Amino acid sequence: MRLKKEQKLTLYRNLVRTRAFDQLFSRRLGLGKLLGFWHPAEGGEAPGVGACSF
Amino acid sequence: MNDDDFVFPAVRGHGLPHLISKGVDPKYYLAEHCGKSTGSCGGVSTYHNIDTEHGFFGLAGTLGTGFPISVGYGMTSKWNGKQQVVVSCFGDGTSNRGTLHESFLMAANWKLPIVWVCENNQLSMYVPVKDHHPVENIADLAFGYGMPGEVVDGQDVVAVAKAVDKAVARARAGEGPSLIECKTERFVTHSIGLPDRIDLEDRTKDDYVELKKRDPVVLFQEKLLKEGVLTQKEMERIDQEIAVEIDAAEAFADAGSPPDPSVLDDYLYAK
Ligand SMILES: Cc1ncc(C[n+]2csc(CCOP(=O)(O)OP(=O)(O)O)c2C)c(N)n1
Repeated sequence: MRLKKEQKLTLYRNLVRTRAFDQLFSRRLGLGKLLGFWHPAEGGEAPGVGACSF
Repeated sequence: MNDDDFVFPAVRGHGLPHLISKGVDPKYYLAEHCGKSTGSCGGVSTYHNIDTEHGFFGLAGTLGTGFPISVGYGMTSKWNGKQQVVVSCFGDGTSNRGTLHESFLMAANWKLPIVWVCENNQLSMYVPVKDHHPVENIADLAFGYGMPGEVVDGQDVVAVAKAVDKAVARARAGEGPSLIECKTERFVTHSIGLPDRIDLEDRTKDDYVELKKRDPVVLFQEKLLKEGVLTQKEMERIDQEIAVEIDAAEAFADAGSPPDPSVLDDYLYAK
């Protein structure tokens, strides 16, 4: 598999979006604005993003 | 992967990396996690996100139940003739469940279209992987079940994408399951509100500095800038777009109301 420019950008965008949303969920749990608990993905986003982007 | 391929996410981020990447709008998951009726399951599930169009049928609070459930998805795919593939993710700690062995055996024996993805962040809460797994690579388990096993750098998103792509093609061609172990990291605590420890020792500032030298976002950003695939300007534009999306998602979640208690019965019993 040879990645095209667009595919690399998709991977990048998915990584950055995941990081941003993950930090949002963490922040909201700390503020009491998320239910239950949150097991953050921070640092370990690439396996899920790489596995599911294409 | 196709929209109707199945994904069983691992516990980190409660499936967020997987569903964002497969095209699910995360605002519905945020609303769900906030207990709002506008959420993906009407606000009654917390984190058991379901999106049938994108192949997500929930997470399991009891780790290890994802293995037999994924075998079930694989059997469904084999029988319905739709050639759907299953990507089933789990952590290194979860790999200790007996359900893994039964499921690996059935999947290999019946050549089910499953890609097992171990997200090995080297910690199961506070327990280092070397203290609960006797060999260096969890991928080596594949050998005993006659399926391919591969270790990839789990901080390199391209390496993961390529390995999974190959395994998905193999599964779709009817050649059976594969196991991919991604060596990754956890930069923060196991669960928000808990201390971040290895055994009984708190992780130190120096530990975090060391860990973040292998930040998957920064590593990929640097690579793309160097290759000229990404420019500084484009990077800033992407950041801005995501900031707008985050604000809109929060507004959407905050505006929703909790589900009416009368709906509880709707989700408890089959109709
Ligand atoms: C059967 C079971 N035992 C224990 C737990 C509590 N628990 C939740 S997450 C977790 C750590 C799992 O470690 P791992 O599979 O390596 O995934 P990670 O959290 O490191 O991503 C534990 C022990 C659980 N949910 N289910």
